[in-house]
Amino acid sequence: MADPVVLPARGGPSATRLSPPVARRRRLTAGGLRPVLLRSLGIGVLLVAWQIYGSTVNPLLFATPVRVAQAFVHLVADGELGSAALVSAQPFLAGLVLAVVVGIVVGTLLARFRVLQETTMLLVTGLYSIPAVALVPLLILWFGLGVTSKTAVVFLLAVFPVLFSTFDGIRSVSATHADAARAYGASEWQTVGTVTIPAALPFIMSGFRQSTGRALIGLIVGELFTGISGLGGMIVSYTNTLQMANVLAVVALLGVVGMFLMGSGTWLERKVAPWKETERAM
Amino acid sequence: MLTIEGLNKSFTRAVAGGGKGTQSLQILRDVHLEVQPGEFISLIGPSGCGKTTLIRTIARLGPPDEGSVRIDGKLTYQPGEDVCLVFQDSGLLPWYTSFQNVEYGLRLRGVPRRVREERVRHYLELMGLEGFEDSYPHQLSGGMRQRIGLARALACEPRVLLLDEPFAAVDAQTRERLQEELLRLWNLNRMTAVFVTHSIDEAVFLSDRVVVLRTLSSRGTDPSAPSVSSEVRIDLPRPRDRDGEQYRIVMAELRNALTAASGPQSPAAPDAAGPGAPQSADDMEVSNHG
Repeated sequence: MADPVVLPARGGPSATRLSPPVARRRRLTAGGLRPVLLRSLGIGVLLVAWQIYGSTVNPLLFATPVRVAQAFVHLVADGELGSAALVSAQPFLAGLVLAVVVGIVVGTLLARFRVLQETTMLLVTGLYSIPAVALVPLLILWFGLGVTSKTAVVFLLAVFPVLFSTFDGIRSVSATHADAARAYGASEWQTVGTVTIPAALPFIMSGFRQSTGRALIGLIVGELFTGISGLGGMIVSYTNTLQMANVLAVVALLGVVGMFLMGSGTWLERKVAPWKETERAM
Repeated sequence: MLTIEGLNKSFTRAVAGGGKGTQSLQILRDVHLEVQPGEFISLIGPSGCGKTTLIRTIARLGPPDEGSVRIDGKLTYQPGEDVCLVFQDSGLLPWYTSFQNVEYGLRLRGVPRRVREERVRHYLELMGLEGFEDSYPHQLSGGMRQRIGLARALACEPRVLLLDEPFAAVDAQTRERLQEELLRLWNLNRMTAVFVTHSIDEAVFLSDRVVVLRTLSSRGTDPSAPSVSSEVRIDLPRPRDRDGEQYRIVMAELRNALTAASGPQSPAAPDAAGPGAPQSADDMEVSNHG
């Protein structure tokens, strides 16, 4: 009855059918210089067109890229931009952190407890449907012109993407994966740690990325309304004095910050879910 | 020894048609089964006969309504330690690499890292998976995923290995090779194995004994008949020759047993039912456990 145990362990055809993942990744990044060149070309054309058009318009209403760049250097050199950015960073970070914490907690509770979901989901969705910006005057009335009201605006805009994506993420946990955990003896908490969180994390991260973008919007909206301090405050005061180069320098900084935040969001997404990364590459 | 006594299990489901009523559907009735240490048995039967429910009950994924499952007399055996289930669609966790998946049961149990690593490497090697430790499941073929699913179960070194149609979704060639590999591994340490299949050939090729289950809800079935319809013992020496005369005789015998289990209303053709064929009762089982 003895099976010949000498049979060598073999990979067989199904093993050789695959190229190892390393090779696949290399092929993917082997774009070389081409995309960099094309991207620079796009930016270059835009800047040239802006420069040509900008020189023909009343300088009180618009500015050329060259003047914006000069204004930017000047604003950085005298420290105004830096200190305004620092002032803005405070409500931005506070609001965002609060939004992430509340969003993850509430999203988790809604996904886990059916009663809670049935009683409050409509309410939450209704709250989300209100254009949050419409509430800004109210928030300023309640919290004054300081950091608190700006934090509140940032929070209000940023909380929903992370909340809803947490909800979706936790609900996306497949029954088979939960079964696999139980069949291998996982306790309730081990199931959360080895199945629920890994399954939900990519969702939460993409919600977080959206929340960061919306938090930036919330920050500027809040500062435009209060109009005293921060980057939004600079935009208001330089617009009032028709110093367009300065206004656009702040806007450009915001653009760069926004791109940086989006980029780090994507990077973080890949970092926490490397298995999704290779899935995308397929 | 695996002992199953007086097992009953029903599911309730909403009656179709938008009504509020629910209907109770008995899936398993009065199952008695004894599996000797080192024995390889297969559970076979028409769609909805409860073979998946039975193996899930043994795997501790949902309690029975009545009756008991014991391993060596113990009612409180541990899933992931005493029994390990190999899933139909591999059931691997997509966020873990092959290595981490095979390690999973041991990690949950708190086996020290050094021991774990050694054991995982051993079973990966046994399954011919060296070099794929760091691949994620979606980067591998269906056959490879099943190998890893098998390695995950074997690494726990369970007393009873449970396999729920593990090779149903791979192509015929890979399937035969996986069957041979499974037997080779089973031979190495002779654990008890319970294998669910809908393929007569697979059951005859692998098992010492085949347990035929009947669908309780099909028309023409005696309403008090137990789930186990019959048993077929297979004494052919291994490795078994699929083209041999004896093999064909046993195949025919098992086919007859299946026809008898399926009742007069629905002629049995479980071999013809592909892996994607709808199995209403099995689907229901999954949603009931969700």
